Amino acid sequence: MLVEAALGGDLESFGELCSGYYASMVAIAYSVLGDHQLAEDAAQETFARALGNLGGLKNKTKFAPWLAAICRNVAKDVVTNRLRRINAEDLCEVADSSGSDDSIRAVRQAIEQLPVPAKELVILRYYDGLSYEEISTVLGISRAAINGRLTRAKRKIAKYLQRNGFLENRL
Amino acid sequence: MKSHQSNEQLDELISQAVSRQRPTFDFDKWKRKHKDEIQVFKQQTAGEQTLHSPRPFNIWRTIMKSRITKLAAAALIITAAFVGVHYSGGSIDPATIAWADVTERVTEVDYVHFYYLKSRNNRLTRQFEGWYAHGKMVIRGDSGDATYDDGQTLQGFDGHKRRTVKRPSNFAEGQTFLQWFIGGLLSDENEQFSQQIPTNVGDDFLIYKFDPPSEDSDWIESIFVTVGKNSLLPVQMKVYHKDQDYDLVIFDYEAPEKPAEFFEPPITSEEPPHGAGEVVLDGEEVVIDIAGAPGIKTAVVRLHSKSSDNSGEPTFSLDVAFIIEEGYRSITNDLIRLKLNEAKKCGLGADNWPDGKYRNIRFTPLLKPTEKEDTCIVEISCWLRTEEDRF
Repeated sequence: MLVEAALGGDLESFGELCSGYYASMVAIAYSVLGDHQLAEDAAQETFARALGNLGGLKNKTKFAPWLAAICRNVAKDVVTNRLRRINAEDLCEVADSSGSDDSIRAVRQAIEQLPVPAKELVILRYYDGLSYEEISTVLGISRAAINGRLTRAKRKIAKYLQRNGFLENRL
Repeated sequence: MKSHQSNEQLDELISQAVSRQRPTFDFDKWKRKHKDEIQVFKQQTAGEQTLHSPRPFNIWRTIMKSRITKLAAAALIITAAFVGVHYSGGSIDPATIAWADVTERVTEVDYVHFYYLKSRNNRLTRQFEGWYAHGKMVIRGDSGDATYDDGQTLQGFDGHKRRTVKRPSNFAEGQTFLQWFIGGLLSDENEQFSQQIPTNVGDDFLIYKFDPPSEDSDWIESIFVTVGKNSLLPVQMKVYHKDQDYDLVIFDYEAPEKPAEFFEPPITSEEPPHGAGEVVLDGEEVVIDIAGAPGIKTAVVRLHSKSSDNSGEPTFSLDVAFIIEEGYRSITNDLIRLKLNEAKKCGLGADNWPDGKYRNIRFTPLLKPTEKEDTCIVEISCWLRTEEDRF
């Protein structure tokens, strides 16, 4: 309903959509940029682009996945424009600067090793604690699929940590 | 079970690595920064403004005002109330009932009581009792530890009622109690599991046998789930490990339901710690006398590396070692990150003592603030497990 109202020109409805999906968009951008402030900037830029292209939304029920696709592009543009590709080393710098210990650094490295979709999913889940329901809406996939993919991603993280001596128990 | 415990440990690590407070969106500020885009948007949609409702309506209010949907909702509630009479055993061949039907059936269950037992070296070594009701769960361990999941937040407490785990609930995203237990072992997404049919069909029960997923085949031999033939509800789950150990969960749907307050987590610690002392940030090691923890004489602690997490809360590193009655000093656990007033479940030692004996120290440190900014009180509760306690 909010989408329909926004398509009809109701800016406040668009604002409510933005508020509802802001955390998800910041998480998606963070999975590309690895920087909190840049991620928030990218999420806000996403809404600007979305507003200008709202007429291009083909399926009203797929607003969130459409927004997520725009967000990924915005984040990639930020990377290209600012030449600020955040890789494992950068994440470790972030970890060091915030006083994190080796295990935290290792987890960040493990997340960085994941394929892009898996990394995005892990960030969506743990960055600001989005529920499966919220992730399902944003990615346009079922909760069962999220559960399965997240489980596999966590196994990869666990194996990486085990190989590097940070997690004794088996997953 | 191992998978579940490791999963919690991993969840905590990942949360520590990437979590932050959920950001909030200031639409008014955004509008001020994006006047051009808003202007274009208004021009584009000017002709359509009257075609749509300017404000969204409450779809649930509309649905529930409809008489037909009210009746449908009532029927749904009545159906859900008849737990246990799902499959009458008539026309369906029970040998063809897929595991997916069982997991679907479980979504209708609103209350279950269960026991979770761990067998190690042919002895039951740990027992848990749990209750799930209306999206909330309580699990109590035989050492006084407990886990509370209120549907929003999962919190774990040690035997001294100190909180040792806090993370988002597993139920918030619609998981069933069965998924909670199974974790990633029998993922709904895997057709190998969802299409599995019973390996044994008895008069009263169906038995499903699963080979472990490849990722877990190094430690799991097989998983058996016994399901009521009529109810299609799991009554027992047994996970056999490669080394003869097993985990057993028994589900009971007939126990009297617990009152709502039973599911409320404890608020404060009830028992005093085994030792406490004052520590100064980046100061010297502090030796704390331990009383009431057999086998442990003192704890040696050092506080360092204060930082802020993403929410701005201060976080500290605490190094902890113990000196035991035999006079040996343990290795130092230097991976402990603590927030103020939030205990953490930790452990150290195993087979690395000078005399070669097995000793494992489980401990829960808690930092409390003082009037001085960089001085805290550290409270330690600890337990020594020896070879005799191991199995």
